[in-house]
Amino acid sequence: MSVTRTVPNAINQSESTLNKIAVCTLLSFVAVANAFAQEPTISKEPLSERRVSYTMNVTLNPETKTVTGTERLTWRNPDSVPVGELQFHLYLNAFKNERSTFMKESGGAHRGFTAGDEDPWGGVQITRMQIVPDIDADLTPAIPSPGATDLTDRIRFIQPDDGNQDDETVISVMLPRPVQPGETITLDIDFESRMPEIVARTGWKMGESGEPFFMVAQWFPKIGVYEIPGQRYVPEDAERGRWNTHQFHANSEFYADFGTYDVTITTPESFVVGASGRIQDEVIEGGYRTVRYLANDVHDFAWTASPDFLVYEDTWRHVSIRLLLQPVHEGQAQRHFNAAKTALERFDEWVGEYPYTTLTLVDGLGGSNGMEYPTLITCGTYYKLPEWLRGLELVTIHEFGHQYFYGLLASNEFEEAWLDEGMNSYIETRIMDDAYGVGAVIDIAGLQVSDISLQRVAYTKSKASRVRMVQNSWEYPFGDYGTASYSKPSTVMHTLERYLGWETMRRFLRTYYERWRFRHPTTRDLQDVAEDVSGQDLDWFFDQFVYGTATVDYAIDPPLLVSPQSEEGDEVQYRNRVRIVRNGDGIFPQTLLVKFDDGSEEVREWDGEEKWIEFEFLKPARMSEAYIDPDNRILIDTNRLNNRRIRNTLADGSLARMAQLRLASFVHQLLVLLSGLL
Amino acid sequence: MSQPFFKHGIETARRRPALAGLLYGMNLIIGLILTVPIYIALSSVTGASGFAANLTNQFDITLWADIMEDAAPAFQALVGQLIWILPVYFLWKVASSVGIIHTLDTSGVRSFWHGVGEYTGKAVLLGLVFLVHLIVLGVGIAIAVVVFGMIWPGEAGVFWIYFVFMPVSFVLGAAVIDMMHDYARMELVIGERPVMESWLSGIRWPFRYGGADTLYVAWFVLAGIILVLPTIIDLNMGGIWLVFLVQQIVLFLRATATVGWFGSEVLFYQTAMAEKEPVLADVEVGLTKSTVG
Repeated sequence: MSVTRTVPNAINQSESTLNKIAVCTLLSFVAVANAFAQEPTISKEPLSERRVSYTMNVTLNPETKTVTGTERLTWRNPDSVPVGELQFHLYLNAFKNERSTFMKESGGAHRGFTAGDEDPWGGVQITRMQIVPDIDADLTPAIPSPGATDLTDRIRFIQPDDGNQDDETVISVMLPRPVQPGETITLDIDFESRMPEIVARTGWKMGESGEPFFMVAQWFPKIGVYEIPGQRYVPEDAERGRWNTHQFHANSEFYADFGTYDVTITTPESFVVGASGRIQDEVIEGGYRTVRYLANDVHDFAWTASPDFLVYEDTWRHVSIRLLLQPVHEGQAQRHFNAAKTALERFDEWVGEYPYTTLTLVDGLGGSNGMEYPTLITCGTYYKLPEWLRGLELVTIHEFGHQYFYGLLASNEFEEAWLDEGMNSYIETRIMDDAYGVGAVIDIAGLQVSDISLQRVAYTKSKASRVRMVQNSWEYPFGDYGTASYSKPSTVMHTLERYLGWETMRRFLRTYYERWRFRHPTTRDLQDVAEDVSGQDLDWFFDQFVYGTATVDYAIDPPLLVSPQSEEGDEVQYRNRVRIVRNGDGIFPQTLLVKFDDGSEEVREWDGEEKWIEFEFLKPARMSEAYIDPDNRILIDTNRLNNRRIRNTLADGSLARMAQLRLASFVHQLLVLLSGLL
Repeated sequence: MSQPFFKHGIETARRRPALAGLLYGMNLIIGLILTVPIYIALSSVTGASGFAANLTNQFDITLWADIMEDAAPAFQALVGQLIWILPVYFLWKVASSVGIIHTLDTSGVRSFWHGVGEYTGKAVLLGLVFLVHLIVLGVGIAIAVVVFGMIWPGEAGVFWIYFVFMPVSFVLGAAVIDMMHDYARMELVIGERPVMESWLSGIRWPFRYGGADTLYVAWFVLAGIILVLPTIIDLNMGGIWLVFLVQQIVLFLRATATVGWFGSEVLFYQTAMAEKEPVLADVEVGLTKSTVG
C-alpha cells in the first residue's frame, strides 16, 4: 500500500498501517516528485493559449461563511478588432435567492440535496472593479492607461439565456476605451463571496464534528469566453467575435478560457486546505494558515477547507495525489487511490498524458460530491460502503475523467454538455468494465452489473426518442438532460466504438485529445476527427444519433417460417424464411446470423434501410435460430430481446420455469416470515 | 430449564408430519399460485427468444430490462394478487395456529380442524389486537429512529440507526409480540378464556416465565437458520428442478420446526398452568414444578 497519511496540525493521531509505511513511500517517490517540485504542469512552457491570468488573495471567515479578497485579472483581446465590453460570470449569485434562474430551474434542489432552512443563501458582490495602470502583467503588451479607472459603476447584470431580470449570474462591463487587438487589460476586483449552504456543488455544511466544511467553487468573478471568428460556431467570415457567456443553470456550469491562477488563501490555522494546482508555500502565523497555490493552463480554480479532513498522499508517476477524507470514511483511502490510479493509467493509455502534476481528491459533504474542477475533484462514498458496490470507484473515475473531458478538452457545457459528460461517461464505463469486469458496479452473489449495461438500460428504457444530444442544456424538458448528456452519449459512443473497432476508436480518442487539448472543441470538431481517423463519412451516424432523435430497434418478426420444399433423391430441401423488421426510425446496418438443425450457419448483411426485409434459405436442414446483431455491437438498439428468435417447436421454457420455481420458494419464505407477524 | 420442552417439541415435530405437511403445502400452493402469471409471462416473452438458456446461467440487466418492459402487465398482476392474498393468508395463519394448538394439547386427543372451526373467529379478533401491537411497535421504532437521528446525526448515525437499530429492533420487537400472541392463543384455545383475558395474559408471558423466553429464543434461532437456507441454496446451486427440490425439503423442514415450536410452547404452557392448578398437570413427560421457572 503506497499511501501516506498526514494529520492536520502535525498531531500524530494514528498508528494506522498507512502511517507505518509512510516513510518508505515518501522516499520512493521523492525523487520523481522533485523533478516537478513546484511546477503545476509537466511543462515549463505554456501548454495553452493563456488568454487570462488571475492573481487572488482571499480570506475565509468560517463564522460569516464568507470569502473576501482581491483579484487581479489580466485578459488579452484575442480578436482582430477592438473589444469595448467585458463579460463576467458571477455564478455564486445563482444561490442568492429563490428568483435566480438556477433556483427556478432546479426548484431549490439539486440531485436530491436541498439547502437547510437557516439562511442558506449565498452570493458574490463586487465592491470595486478598477483598471490597473502600468501593470507589469504576465501577458504583454498591457493596455496603456492614463490612470486608474473605476469600473464599479459600469457593472450591469445581463441575462443572455432566459431574460430573467432577477438572475444576477452574468455581468457586462463597458470599458471607457476598447481593448485593442492583442492588447491586455488588467483589472483589480475586490469582492466578497458569501458561501451558501450546500445545495449543489458549492458552499458550506456542518460536519459531524460541528466544524464547517467549505467547498469553495464558482466563487469569484470570472471572465467569460470571447470567441473569435472561426472559433467554435462563430463564422470564419464574421466581422468580429462575440462573448459566449451563459447564466448559471441547474444542469450546466462550465465554460471559461485557459490561463493561470496564482491564489493565496488564508483560513484559520485549524483548517486543512486543498485546491486546484500545486501548493507553493504554506505559512502558519497568528492563528491563521496561509497557503499559496499555482495552477497553470486551467480554466477554473476551486478549493476546499475543513478542520476535519484526514489527509492522505500517494503518487502515480509524475502526479502527486492528495486525498482529503472525512473521518467517518477512514479506511476507504486506498479505494480512492486505487480508483484514481485506475483512471490515470487508462486515460494515459487510451487518450493522452495527464499534463498536471497534482490531483486532489476531496471527500466532501452533502451536495458537493461528484464534481469536477481542474486538478481537484469531489468524490463521494458512504460509511461502510461494501466492496461489492463500487459507487466510490465509479464516481472517482468519472470525476477524474472530467480532467480530460471538460478540463483539457474544454467544450462548452451549456451548449454541448454531452461533449464532456457524455464522452466522459463513455470512457468511465470503459474503464470500470475493463478494470473490474462484468460486475464492475455491482457484484454480489451472482448478481453482476456492468457500468455500460447500466448506462444502456438508462438510455433504452427512458424516453430516448425525444432526446437530442446537442442542445442547450437548459432547454431540455425536466429529466431529459441526464439521458441526453450521460446515458445516451455513452451508449452511442460504445456503439460507434463497436462499429469502427476499438483500435480505430482509440486512435480517434488520442487524435481528438492531441488536436483539441487546451482548446474548446465542438461536436463538429469531434466528428471531423472521427471521420479523419476512420476514413469514413459518419454523417449518417452523427445526424441520426447525436444531432437527431432517431431510435434503433430491429426485430426478428416471428415466427421463423420453415416448410419442406422439394425432395432431391432422399434429401428433403427446406424453404427457411426469416423476416427482419425495423421498428424504430433509426437506421443501422445489421448482421443476421441463421443457424440450422444440421449445425450449419449462414450470415447475411443488410443495410437496414427498408422497413422490413425477408431472407430465404433453401437448405437440406430446418432453420433453428435467427439472430440479428449476434455480437451485441449495436448497444443503442432499444430492445435486444427481440433480436433473436428460435423455431417455435424449440421454445425453451427453462427461464420461465426457473423464475417461477425460485420465486415460489421465495414467496414461501416470505409467507413464513409474515406468519411471525400475524 | 427449557431443554425438556425443546426435546418435546422435536418429538412432536417428528410425530406430526401431517401437520407440517399441511402448513408447508398451503404455503407452497400460495407461492405457486402467485407465480403462475410470472411463468406464463416469461414463457411467452422469452420462450422462443433464444435467450432463455443464457439467462438461466447468467444475469443480464439489459435483457431483464427488456423482459420487464414486455412482461410488465404480469408483474403488475403479481402486485394485484397480493391485495387479496394477504388477508386470506392472515385468516389461514390464524386458523392454522389455533388448529395446531388445539391438536397439540397434551390433555387429550383433539382434532386440528375442530380447533380451526371452534376458535378461528375469536383468534381473528385476538390477531387484530396483536396487529395493533405491531403498529404500536412500528410507530415506537419510528419515533425512536427520529430521536436517535437527532442525537446521532451524520452518516455513521444513519447507518447504525437505519441499517442496524431499526431492523434489529423490529425483529426483536416482533418476536416478543409473536411470543405473547402464541401464549395468548393458548389461553384462548387450551385455557378457554375470552379474547381480552387471553390477550392480557399473553402479554404477561415474556415477563413472567424466563423459561418461556429461553424456549422461544431457541426455536427462533433454529427456525431462522432453516429459513435462510433456501436463499443460500438459491445463490449457490445450479440447475432448476434440483434447486427447487432441495429448497422444498428445507421449507418442509421449516414447517416441521413450526409444529415443533408450537409443541414445545403448548407443553410449557400446560406445565405452567399445572403448577398453578396441579389438578391439570400433565405428567406425560414427568415434569416437576421447578421445570418452568
